[in-house]
Amino acid sequence: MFFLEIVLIRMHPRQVDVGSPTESWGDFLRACFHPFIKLMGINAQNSSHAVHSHRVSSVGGYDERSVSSRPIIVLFIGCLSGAVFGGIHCLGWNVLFRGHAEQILWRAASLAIVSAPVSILLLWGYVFWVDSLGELNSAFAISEMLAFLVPLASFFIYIVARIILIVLISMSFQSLPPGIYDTVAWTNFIPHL
Amino acid sequence: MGGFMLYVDGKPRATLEPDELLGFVRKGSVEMPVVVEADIEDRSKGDALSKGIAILQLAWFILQLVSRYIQNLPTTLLELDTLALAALAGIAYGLWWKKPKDVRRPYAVYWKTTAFPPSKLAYEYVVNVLS
Repeated sequence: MFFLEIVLIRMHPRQVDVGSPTESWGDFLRACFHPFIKLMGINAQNSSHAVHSHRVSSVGGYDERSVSSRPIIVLFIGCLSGAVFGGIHCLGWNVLFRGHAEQILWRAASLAIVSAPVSILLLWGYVFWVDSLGELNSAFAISEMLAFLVPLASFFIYIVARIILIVLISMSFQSLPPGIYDTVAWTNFIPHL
Repeated sequence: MGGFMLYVDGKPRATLEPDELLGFVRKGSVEMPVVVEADIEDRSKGDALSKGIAILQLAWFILQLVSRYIQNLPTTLLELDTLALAALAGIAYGLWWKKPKDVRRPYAVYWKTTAFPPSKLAYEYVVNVLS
C-alpha cells in the first residue's frame, strides 16, 4: 500500500484539487486501490463524506505529514493481523476434507494468506533498509516495477485465497465429521470419582 | 471522532488538522483548546458493560473450542474461521481500547474576530479520486 502510494506519487505529483483528467493508468489504478489505501489508513485523503459530515474518519485521518512513524505502525499492524489470520487457518492443516484437492486448496490458501502480508512487510523492510543506506544506490535500488507489483500481487492473492477459504468452508457442510453436534461434557472437567 | 471544528463568525467552517490547529494557536488566531482526558472519556457511548459483554462472548467461544479439543470432539472449519476473526477482533479491541465510541460533536475552536479569516483548510478539499 505504502509503496504503491510512493510509486504513484512519484509518477504524479499529488493532486489535491479535483484532478485534471490526465488519462493515465496511474490515475486509474489509484482510483481502484483508493478503498484499500483508505482501509489501511495510509496516506488517506479526506473523503467527501468526511468533509460533508464534519467527521474525522475512524481509520486514517493522519498521514505522513503529521507523525511520520504512524503509517509504518499501521502497515505493520495490518500485515501482522493478516499473517495471524492466515496462521489460524493453518490450524486446519490436517482437517479431513471430502477430497484430496480440497485439502491441498485449503493448505495453499492458508499459506497464501500468511505470505501475502509477510511479503509486503519484507519488501517494506528492504526499501527501508535501502533508504537508510543513503542516496539511491543503483546496486541495491529496488526497481519501481517490483515495488509496484509485489503489493498489487499480494492484494490479489489475499483476496482470492480468502474467497477460496469461504467456499471451502461452505462446501465442508456437505460432509461434517460424526460427533460434530456432540456438546462438551462440562461436568467431566470437575474432579470426581 | 469529531476532531476540532473551526468556527468563524459563529458558523462551523471545517475540521482542523493537527498541523493547522498548532499553526493557528502559535499565530494567536485561536485559543488553545483545553481538553482533559476525562472530557474525552465522557463523550464515549461505550462503557464497561458493552465492552464486557463482547469480551464475554469471545471468551466463551474460545473456551468452548479449547474444551472441544481437550475432549477430542471434532470442530468445523467455520469455527476455525470464526476463531481467526476473533483473533482479529482481539487485536482491534486492544488497539482501540481507549478510543471513545461514537463521538458525534466536534470540539469547537473559535476564530478570533480581529484576525483575518484563514484561507483554504485541508478539510475543505474534496478529493475526487474517481474523476
